[in-house]
Amino acid sequence: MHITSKEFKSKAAEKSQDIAARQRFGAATHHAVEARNRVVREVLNWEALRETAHGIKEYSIGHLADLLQEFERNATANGVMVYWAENEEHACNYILDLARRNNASLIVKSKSMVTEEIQLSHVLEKEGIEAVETDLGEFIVQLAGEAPSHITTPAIHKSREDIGRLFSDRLGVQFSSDPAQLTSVARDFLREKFLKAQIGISGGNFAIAETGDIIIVENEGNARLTTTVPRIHVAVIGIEKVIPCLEDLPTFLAILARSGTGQKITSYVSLIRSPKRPGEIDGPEEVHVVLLDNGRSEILADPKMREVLYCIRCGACLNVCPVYQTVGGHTYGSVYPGPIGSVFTPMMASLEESKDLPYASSLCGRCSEICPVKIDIHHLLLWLRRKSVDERLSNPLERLMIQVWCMIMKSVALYQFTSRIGRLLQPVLPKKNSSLRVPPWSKSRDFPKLAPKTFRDLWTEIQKDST
Amino acid sequence: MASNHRETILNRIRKNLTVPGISKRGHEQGASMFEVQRSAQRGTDVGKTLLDTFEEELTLLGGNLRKVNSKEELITSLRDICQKENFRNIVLSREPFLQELGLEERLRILLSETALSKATGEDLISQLKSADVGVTACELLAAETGTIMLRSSPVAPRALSLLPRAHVVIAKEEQLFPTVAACFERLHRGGDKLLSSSCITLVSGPSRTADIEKVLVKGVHGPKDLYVFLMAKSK
Repeated sequence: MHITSKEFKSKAAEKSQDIAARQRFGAATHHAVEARNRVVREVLNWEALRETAHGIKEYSIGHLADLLQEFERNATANGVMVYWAENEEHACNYILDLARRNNASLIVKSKSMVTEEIQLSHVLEKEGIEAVETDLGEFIVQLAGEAPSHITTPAIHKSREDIGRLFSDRLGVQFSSDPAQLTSVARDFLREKFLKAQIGISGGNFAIAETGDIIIVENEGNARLTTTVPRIHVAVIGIEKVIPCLEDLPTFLAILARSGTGQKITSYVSLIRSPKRPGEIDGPEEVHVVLLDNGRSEILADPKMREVLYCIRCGACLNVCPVYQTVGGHTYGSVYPGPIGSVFTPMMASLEESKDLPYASSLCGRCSEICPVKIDIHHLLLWLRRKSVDERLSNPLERLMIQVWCMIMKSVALYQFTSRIGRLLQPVLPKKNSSLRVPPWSKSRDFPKLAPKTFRDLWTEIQKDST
Repeated sequence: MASNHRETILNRIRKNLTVPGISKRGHEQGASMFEVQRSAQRGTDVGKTLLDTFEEELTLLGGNLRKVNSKEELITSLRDICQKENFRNIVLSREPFLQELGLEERLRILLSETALSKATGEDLISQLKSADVGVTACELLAAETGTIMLRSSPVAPRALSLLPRAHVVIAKEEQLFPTVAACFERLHRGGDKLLSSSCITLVSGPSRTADIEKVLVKGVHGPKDLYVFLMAKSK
């Protein structure tokens, strides 16, 4: 997984100064949370749904090898080709090979995080194969040569004027900032692509072991077109997406749309079972499923972090996160931004390359509270902080300071002594706007004031007074 | 073709899962998930009929419901909408229900100016490219989410409900169930039928997006307008 999370701190510092962007992020995420709350409130027992979903995911991850084999068996019996890809290179090569064998020059893609993760479009484009994103938000960021900044709303960072200018520059249409007009331009442009493409590539929200079905949840209809019109359909799915049976699906449908977009259900849910059956007059002739590992099976080795694989990519934790709202999605330097991304990215790539991400949280816990599959996100972030200390990835000065702090806290005499010194030094400590500063602490704030007397002093006084 | 990495992945999963940590709660024991899901759904519909709920939800989503009491009423109501919306090119599925109603023949008489055809295999895509509306039956309806369940089959191609600007569904009140979970349960019982479809689609309202500044726009890649004609139970 390609990441640029090393620059998180500097990018975040810069991004948090961009007031206009912050307002846009704030408004969009606030809107999403409001919509989510409206449809969650009307559920009789939301907590029971979360518990159920968590239980199904826990079971599924606990029985992953068996469920994947069951899925493979059933999908194969349905006439679907199942390919197991250990890493992104294997997955990309399989698809590239498929494209070459079929002389495909144009591929349509519907929204999929996992194909972003393996940078499939880049790989295809490098080989001269046009790969067009067809989800409106993804189409916009692809046209702009950017990366998505949100899991469910990829172009959340762009204003309607930005998009209007982009379309008039790149598609040669008249400038408009009307979302309906812009959507219609994209529809016409992409409809042609759908009808010409030889291969359609999708992700998959769930894979059902019992039936071999691939489930795709969407609103625009582009995933339906991607999986219906081209002669070949390829679904790239992370191995953690498998759930036991069709019975389990309604629970996830009920929580996914509510948490993601504030809908009771999305406009379309496709259950794809097989290539076109004898007698059917449309649908793809070939259906391929690429089961992608890419580091997921290694996450299983850590019994705490396993939980990150329960994620259904609804994006709700991004919407409530004060850090995400301030710095936006690109700052994280990963396909997976926000609180869940800050857990997933270090586990998938390397903690060393992304050691700031576990700290990209105020630990307020809103992410854990909103997560529809009850992933304890902020505690996983804490756990990662601990890991990074254990692996000596934290700042040496900080480590030294913590060691000194521990020493002081363990000894009554030292504690009393240093707190007295601290009180004496307080008036001469640098203030935030003075020329003398202690970076980075006093860059934007004063040192907190100590109470004039310690508890111990006060206690002695009270004792004296009462006698 | 590149080699398959099945065994490597499966072995790694098995090895890593031997590290304990997962309490196997929930799934194996206990009630059917359909039950759990239903009990968790909202309970505000007391006193409302399924039909009321379906209408309310479909309308909220931007779809339109026409309740009809007879075949005659269906045909005239359908004609009125075709005239009002200026549908010049109508493609119908070959599903038995629509055949029984004799929709094509009857509409042909009422709408002399309009091109009417049945979805065929020869060149479905170009047939649908110029169509204004696709007319289909459906498998089941779910009241609580205003959902229409479609099942692909030789007489019901997938693109018919997808490529034209509008989608018209002809359904019977008997097909109405409370929730999507109940529809799945029902479908599950009719096991064989399920196996014969390459794809099942749940449709809840017209195609939509909010990708530009969270502004809701209807009609992106799929139909912009959705009409459901519901035939009342014969009394």
